[in-house]
Amino acid sequence: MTLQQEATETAGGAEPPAGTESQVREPAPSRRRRLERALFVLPAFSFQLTWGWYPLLMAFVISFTNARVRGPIEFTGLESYERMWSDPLVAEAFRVTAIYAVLSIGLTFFIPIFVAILLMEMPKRHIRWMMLLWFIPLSGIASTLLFRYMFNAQYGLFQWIATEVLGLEPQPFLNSSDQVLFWLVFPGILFFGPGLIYMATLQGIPASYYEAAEIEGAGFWRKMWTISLPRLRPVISMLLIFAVIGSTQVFEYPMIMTGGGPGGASRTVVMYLYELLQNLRYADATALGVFLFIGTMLLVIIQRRFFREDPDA
Amino acid sequence: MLNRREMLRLLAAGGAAAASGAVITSCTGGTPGGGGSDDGADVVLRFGGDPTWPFDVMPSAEVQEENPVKKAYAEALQTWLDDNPGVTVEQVATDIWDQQALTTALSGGTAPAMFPGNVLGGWNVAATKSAFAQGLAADTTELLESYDMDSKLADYAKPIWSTWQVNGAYYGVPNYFGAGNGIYFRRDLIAELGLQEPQPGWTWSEFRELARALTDGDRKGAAFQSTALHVRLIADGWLELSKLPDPESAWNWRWDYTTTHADTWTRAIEDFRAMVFEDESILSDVAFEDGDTRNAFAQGRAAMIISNSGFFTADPNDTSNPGPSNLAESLGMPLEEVVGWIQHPRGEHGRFGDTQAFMTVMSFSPDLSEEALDKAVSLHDWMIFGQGWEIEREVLWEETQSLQSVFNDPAPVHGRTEVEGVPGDLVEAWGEQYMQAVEDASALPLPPNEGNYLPVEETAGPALTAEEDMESRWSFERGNVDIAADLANLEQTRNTQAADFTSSVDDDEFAEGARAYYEALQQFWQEHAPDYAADVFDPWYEDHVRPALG
Repeated sequence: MTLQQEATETAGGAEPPAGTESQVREPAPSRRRRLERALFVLPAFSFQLTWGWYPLLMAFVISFTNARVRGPIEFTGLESYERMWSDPLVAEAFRVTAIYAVLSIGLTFFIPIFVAILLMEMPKRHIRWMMLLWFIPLSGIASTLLFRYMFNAQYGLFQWIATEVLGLEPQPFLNSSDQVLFWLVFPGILFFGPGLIYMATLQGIPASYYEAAEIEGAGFWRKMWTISLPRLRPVISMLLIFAVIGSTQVFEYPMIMTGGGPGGASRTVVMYLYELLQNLRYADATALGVFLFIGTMLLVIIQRRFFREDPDA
Repeated sequence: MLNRREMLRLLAAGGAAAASGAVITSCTGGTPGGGGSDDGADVVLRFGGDPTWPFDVMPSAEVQEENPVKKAYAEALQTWLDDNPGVTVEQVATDIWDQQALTTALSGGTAPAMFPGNVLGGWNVAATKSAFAQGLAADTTELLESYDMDSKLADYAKPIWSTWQVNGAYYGVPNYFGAGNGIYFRRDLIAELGLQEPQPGWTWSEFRELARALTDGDRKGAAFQSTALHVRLIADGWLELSKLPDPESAWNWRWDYTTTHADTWTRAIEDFRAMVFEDESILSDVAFEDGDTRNAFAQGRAAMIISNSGFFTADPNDTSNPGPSNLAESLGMPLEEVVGWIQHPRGEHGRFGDTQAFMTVMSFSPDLSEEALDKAVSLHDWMIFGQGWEIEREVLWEETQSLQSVFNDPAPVHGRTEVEGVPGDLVEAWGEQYMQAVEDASALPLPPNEGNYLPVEETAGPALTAEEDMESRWSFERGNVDIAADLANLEQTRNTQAADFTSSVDDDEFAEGARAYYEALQQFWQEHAPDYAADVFDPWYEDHVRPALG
């Protein structure tokens, strides 16, 4: 029984007269029904209000004060925003975050799309194994700690591969300001999470689409361009938003791997925000958080504006 | 099974509770009397954090049976509780070693009764003092007098304790004294190679030579993390000579890395980088932390490391954090023949100050009632300075018959090195050579502390991040690094940051305090490092500091 049917019965109404859909009007819900609906919504709304919107609002408020743990708090206007705007380390943190986001999205978001499409061409048994490998739940922190040792420039596994296997000169890995961000992103290429979702979506595309295309003489690239990618578009759109938000707010990986070094070359905005908190500069930290929020929202708005989700559009 | 009506009631109740609970908690600031409460004559002291240290609730009989340290603690605590009827202790979930958790609890009035004050400022002294000035800990000035704390402190601990004064008041009690950081070295390898053991007053050039000589195959001469370069630079006055008073500016300070001592910094940095990249005698990586260098030393992969004096006494049973005892055990040799510890090398002109005593402060919740605060201080006094400390040692001896377990602190804050009923003392526990090194380091004169002459700022001001960035870059970045450009960049960054801060200290008050501070500093260096005073400090003071202060 649908909610609409239930509502009709509860209201004591008879079967709606036959006619077009536009002629069927849902009767106004009873007071009891409205109350019930409100009660069902209340827990989620309360949770969102207290743990989502209230802290967000308070962060904005705090950024205009000399916020402190105890003692009188005074309104200081845009002081914190001015301080953050002119702080050279803030600009540097945004630059690092932007490069990290581009590398992260480019290497760990888009590459898996094509890898997933290529894998779909493999025998089903292989596909199942690949999906199993990606589905193995790895602890993010544990694997990060492991990579920390593997990247060690003096005795790490990657140095051994670089010098002994590939015959290259010793590489600095995390010790180079030019390379550090790439190596921070690198583990994400090996364990790319979105790949599994892409493969699941690709498996949901009716085989008849590909069969019809093949009858018409379409090759691999044509099928990918006209069937696979358009069908993946809604998933890509949603995951891209998560990827943008996730990469601009990255904290734990660089924090554990490098602590922001060398020379601040891997200090992201959230890491700098954390340092401000450690120095009890709460208003400055929240002002920086507002800058990041605005930047991330702009990116998401641009992405929503220019990225079409409808696969048939 | 719930019916629909019951389900709806449950949802409504849950939603209302979630909303009201969170909003009320965030708006009201929690319950008063956090950390302790008075109920008539009863006082409840609440402890948080790692349950094993510093204060715990009464351990169970099973725990006491398994762990002699717990048994010793239990007996000392029980004696105090017996002497203080009406006081009970409770454990709360707040982690007092987590800065964010602790400050959140303080803001809500739910902080545990006592906590390490240093955590408030993330172990940064200036930030910690600002936290004290903001009232994040109870004022203990009168209690220190009533408990006669000054007479209980070891002579070597008194100067460093005085630096914790904040605008004439104290916000905690002395808790732990450390002789400071120094160099651990492999005594056995030095003897085996026929090298000269380092002596107090050694230089960084001698360190480099020794590191080179001790490097052999996979074993490096030393293991460093990024703070090592900071230590190297401090030896030449990095912090002191790069910061200038500037009462004309809003923040009262400015930084100068390029005008006066750029050559000194460049020379020190190049020398450091040569150890890492040319001599290849240093095991180092940007990802290294304390544990990595300590492990490298304990596992024999590095022959020297920088660490605090207390690392020598690390528990050999803690296999996750191996220490010198584990190394000696693995080599089948007595500890003292394998590992030595010595104060840091001196700078170019004989300046010292890298190895400097430090002290942690035990602070108390500002929400404690007068009586609860008194009981909390009393308990701390009992366990750290009083009879509780002795009871713990006696029980530990009975249980372990190990002098190293009994005397696990090489420089006790009270200076007591023996206990009645225990045959042996601190020196016997750890050996004469190590104890002499600790004694020498503890006796190093302490340069005048800025905080004793200038009022504490209400905000800590620009963080050290820019400076730490450059030290990290110089430590790890390979190839050609333009040190002069980096110094200029550092100077510009710090001064740009400082320009957006306003000091809470009056200009005249600042100038007066700064004059007194620099005069004391000049006198100190003239007395203790005359070459540094004559060649470096005095000309800089006369040309740059004195004119700035008028």
